[in-house]
Amino acid sequence: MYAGTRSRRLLAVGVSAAVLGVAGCGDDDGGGGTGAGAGTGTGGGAAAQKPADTSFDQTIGVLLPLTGDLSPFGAPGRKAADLALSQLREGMRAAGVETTVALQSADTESSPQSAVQAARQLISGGATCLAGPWASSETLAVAESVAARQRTPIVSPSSTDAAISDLDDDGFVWRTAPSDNLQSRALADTVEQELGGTDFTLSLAARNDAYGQGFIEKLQRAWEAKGGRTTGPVLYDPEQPNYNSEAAEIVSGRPDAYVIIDFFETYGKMGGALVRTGQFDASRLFTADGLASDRIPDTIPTRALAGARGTRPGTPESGAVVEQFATIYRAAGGAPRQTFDAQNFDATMLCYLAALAAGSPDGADVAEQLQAVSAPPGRTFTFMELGDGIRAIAAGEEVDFDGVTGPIDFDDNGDPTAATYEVYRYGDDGVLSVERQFEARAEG
Amino acid sequence: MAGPADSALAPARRERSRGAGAAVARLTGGGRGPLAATTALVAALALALVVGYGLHDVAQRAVNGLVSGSYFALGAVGLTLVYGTLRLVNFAHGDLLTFGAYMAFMANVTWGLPLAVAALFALVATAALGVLSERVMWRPMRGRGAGLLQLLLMTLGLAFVIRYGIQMIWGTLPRRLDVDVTASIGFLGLRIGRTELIVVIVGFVVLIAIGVMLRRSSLGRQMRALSDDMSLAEATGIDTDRVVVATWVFAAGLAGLAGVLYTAAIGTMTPNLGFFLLLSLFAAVILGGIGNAYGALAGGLLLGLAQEWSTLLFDPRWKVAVGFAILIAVLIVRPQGLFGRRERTL
Repeated sequence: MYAGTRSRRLLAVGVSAAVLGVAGCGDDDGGGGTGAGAGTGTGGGAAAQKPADTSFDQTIGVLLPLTGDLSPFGAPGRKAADLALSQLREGMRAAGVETTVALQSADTESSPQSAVQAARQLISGGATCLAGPWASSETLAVAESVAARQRTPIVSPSSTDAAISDLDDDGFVWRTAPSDNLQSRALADTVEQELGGTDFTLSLAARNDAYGQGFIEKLQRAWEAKGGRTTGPVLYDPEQPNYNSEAAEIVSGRPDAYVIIDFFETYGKMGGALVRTGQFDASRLFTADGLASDRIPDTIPTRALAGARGTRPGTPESGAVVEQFATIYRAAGGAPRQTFDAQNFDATMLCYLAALAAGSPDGADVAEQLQAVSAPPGRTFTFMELGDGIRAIAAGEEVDFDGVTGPIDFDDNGDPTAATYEVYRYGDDGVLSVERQFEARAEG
Repeated sequence: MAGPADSALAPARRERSRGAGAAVARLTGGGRGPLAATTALVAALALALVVGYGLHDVAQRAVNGLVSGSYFALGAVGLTLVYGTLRLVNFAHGDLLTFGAYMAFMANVTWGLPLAVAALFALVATAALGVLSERVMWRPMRGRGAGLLQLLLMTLGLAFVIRYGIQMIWGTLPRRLDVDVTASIGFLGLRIGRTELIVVIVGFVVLIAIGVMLRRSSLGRQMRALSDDMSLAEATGIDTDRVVVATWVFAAGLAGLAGVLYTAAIGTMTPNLGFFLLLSLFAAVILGGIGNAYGALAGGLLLGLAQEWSTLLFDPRWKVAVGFAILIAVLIVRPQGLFGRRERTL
């Protein structure tokens, strides 16, 4: 009993010492940050005169779906963030700046609740800018309960839900993945090209969450605007013991093609039910990034997906940056390429570059600089000229960072204004191949 | 009255003077009235739907409901057995299903055994886990006269231990058994998955067998005696320990089997499989009348039918809500469930 009380008291002393220590550091950084932030922030478009403070230590948090529905994206995402870190360290060495950057990652379990918890954990561990989270539902949850409230920017590599653009987030929510507004139109265009017209009926279905519902409704509007017909959408709960009735509804009425927006975990169950109807033909299925992977996972019946076509955000096909990224990704070993890996690479990079431009790792300062470092005006550079770019930022010059995924150029909502999409197809052997690429730009 | 079983759950008040005949009546579902009324109601509803949506759609949805209902019933029967005999509301029951599914995964995929053997292995392993939990947790707790809340929290704790134990070993990635989930059988223009059909058949056979066992065998009589009053049963010379262990063997073994069949039919499993099913299992048990084996079958089937038929009228994403709305409506009319008596039954 006595020992218990004593150790608890020791613990309390330790904790308060830690709090004091952290508070002390915070004060120092805060002071420096506010000064530099005011210098560049109020300058607006004009070039910042004052050289940035280059002596801070930044911790970038990485929110990853290492488990759960999106787990296929977790390991490649982590690898991309680690690659960004080693590139940044090299760049800093080349530029001779003294900042240090560390990464801290946490598993969001592909669930909004866990994502919020993971984000809080990273922030209390000292992270001031978060790359992630991945699922749109996670980003919406973290945006509301963590990002704006704790004044810490999040840069999601893969949340494509259009609703994220309209969030009242005080400028703390960003993404390197394009909005579904863009992708749903891109998919509608793809369906039109693949079918050779719009005089067809599409049967629409999606998992009942922010991603599925938002995407399929936009696609429905885009297709009908083209003069096409639709049935549905059939929205289904991701946790059901039985999808037979939903599957029957999707195949009823002999549609010309199907558009189904889903993740693998649910589609493992829905796909089986679709094939069991005896009327489903996967070669008439169109889908999106949620069901894109190197090859059909073994939890999905091959007949439910072989022959299906879809769109996914890609990286520009050619160009030195893309090839260089592929080279360093391959050279690092480990996880194979996966959709959104380059987006996470860019997100991690931007967290640091914005902090450097602000001269402070403080969350609010980073958030203020994210748009400036990603978009014109300023000297353009990619991660291949990272040393020069960092030197320019440190000297107080304006820059425009171009990512592996494209020019990024964040708009006022924190969305990239242009994006590359790939049209992919699963072969009969279940292997994904990319058929072509195109660039889509936001309207207006 | 101060028997340990009674202290486990207060609201159940046993009737003092009941003959063997009454006990049998309770077991088989407590009279024909509710059964006839329910059947009539379901038939009327089916007829109305057929008029509105055509025979084929309604029949196909009914087949789908039969499949869901069989999952629910198979999973629920163990829940109702444990509650009926031991007065234990077992929140870990869903995770026993998960445990069974992963045991089958280990035998079927890791070791490469045929699915039928793997299912048998899962049944035995899960039954063993049930007996282990009885020996380590429930018997000592009963011996000390633990209260309802303590026991409830322990079942919840056990649920987490099983779920995260599975997650620790196999991770959270979806897994599947070596079975073709896309094969289906057509009859009279209706379709049912091959593994789904097996689940339906096994579900009916097992539940009816359990019902008959409770009614006819001496073990079943002893289980019913325990359900009435454990200390009294003990005083009359029943080896209560043996009967309790047998209850766990049946309840947990069937949960394991249900987990395997469910996974085989639907395609994939994750460590959350049983947890997501648990609420539906409770619903089936309560709808049918808690503690009643045939009630679990009827409750499961009704819940399945209600959910699938509702997809004709509403967006399918509301089917869970519709199923549970019907559950609430039934309980308002008949708080003891469709086939339950006002007091506990087995």
